Amino acid sequence: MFKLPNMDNIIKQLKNGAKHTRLSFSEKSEMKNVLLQHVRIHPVRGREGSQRASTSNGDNPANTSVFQKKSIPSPFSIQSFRNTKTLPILVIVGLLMGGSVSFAAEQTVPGDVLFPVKVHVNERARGAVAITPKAKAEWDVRLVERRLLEVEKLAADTSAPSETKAIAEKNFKDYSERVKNRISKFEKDDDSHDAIETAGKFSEMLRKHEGKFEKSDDPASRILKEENLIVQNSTTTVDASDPALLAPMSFDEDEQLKEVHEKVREMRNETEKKQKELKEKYRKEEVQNIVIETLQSKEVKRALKENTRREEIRSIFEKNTENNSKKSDKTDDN
Amino acid sequence: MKISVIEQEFTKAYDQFADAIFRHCVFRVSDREKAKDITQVSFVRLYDYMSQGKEIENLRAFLYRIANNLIIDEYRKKKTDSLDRMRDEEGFDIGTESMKDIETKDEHGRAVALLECLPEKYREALVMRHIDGLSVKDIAHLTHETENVISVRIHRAIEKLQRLNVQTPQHG
Repeated sequence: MFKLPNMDNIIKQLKNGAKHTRLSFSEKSEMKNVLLQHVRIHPVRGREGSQRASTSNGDNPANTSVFQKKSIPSPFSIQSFRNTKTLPILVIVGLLMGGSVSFAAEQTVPGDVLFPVKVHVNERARGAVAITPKAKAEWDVRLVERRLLEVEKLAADTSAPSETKAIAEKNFKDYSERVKNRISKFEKDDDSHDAIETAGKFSEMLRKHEGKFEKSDDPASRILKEENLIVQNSTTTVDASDPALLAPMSFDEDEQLKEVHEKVREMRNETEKKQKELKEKYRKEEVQNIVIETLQSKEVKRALKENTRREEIRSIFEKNTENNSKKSDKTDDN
Repeated sequence: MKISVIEQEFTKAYDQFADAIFRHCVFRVSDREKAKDITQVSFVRLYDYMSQGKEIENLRAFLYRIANNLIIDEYRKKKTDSLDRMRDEEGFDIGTESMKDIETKDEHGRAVALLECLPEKYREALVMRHIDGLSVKDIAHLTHETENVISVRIHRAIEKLQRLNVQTPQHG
């Protein structure tokens, strides 16, 4: 049977052919499983809130609006460093910076940006290495020296504000206090040897720094300085022969140095006194020990002497009895 | 919670459009297995797009566009194969599972056979219009052509099939 299909017929043919064309139930669920697996392997990332696909049957916009809010990713989130080279670079930069920062911090004084790094990072790290109480005490003495150096540095710096100088001096006092506490703790623990040693080191260090002040403080140089100032004030054409010695120094600066000097001397005297006390106490103990020892040794000697005397007496007595018996034997023979 | 929303939306889209996309693919590539593959890849692409947080205006049209692009890729691949071999495989297996009786199978085969005679552009337009039931406007939009061009293509496709039908008589 032949038929000439018209336009509608063609379309009908196509539609009929497509009517039952679909995925079988098993095919559909199998494909769904594969897709869900893909979903699980590639979880949603990034700006997830913004992708609302409005389906052809149209979702109610009021229902989906909650999810349309864009979540702003945090710039500090570790996620933003994932799968990039940024993280290792940051780590390397951090390490390099850390090293150079702590090195740069070594030369700082209170009021500098890196001063907290010096005190809280560098010194704490180095202090952690000291384990025994003695090592800790030594490190504390070293810290006082560091504080003292800062005070000196600031005292010599005319542009430094007085507040920072006050802080530096307070630091010096606080740290000295720590050393003193260490010494008294040694004393309490009957560790007099360590106490004396620490006190000795402390006073030695203080004396060393005092010496520095004395150099700049000694009358001869001061007169020279003052003269120079006068000369400089009167005639500006005078050439300085020794720039270091003739460097203009304000009286204000001198005053400050003197103050610091005074404080250091005070501290040193205090420590030396303490050291002497300790030594005396220790010596007394030693003397007592020696006395006890000598007394003991005397007793022993006396006992020994007695013993030997007894022995001697016994031997004499034995000899006598022997002699007597010999004599009696002889008389018997006769 | 947001993640599950996207997943839910995606599953919903799959349940709703899987059959339609598959049908479209079958009539475009004349191969059930290939059609299945393309359908699957289309949905994977859809999910990847959704999970990047991009906006999708019309999910249905979007899915057809993905499938269409994949089919075009498939045709490009085919060209490197032997065209003669493709001709020889004309009598493809449409999978008996979903075909309830011989008549429907016959109808299906006839429709596919008809479409295979058409040039690719005509086939695309005709399948979208009369099998998928998309509007001319939607087809124009997702194929990046003007509505006029699409209308002309559909018309010419039907004309061509009519002529073919005259040349090769069909059993009513």
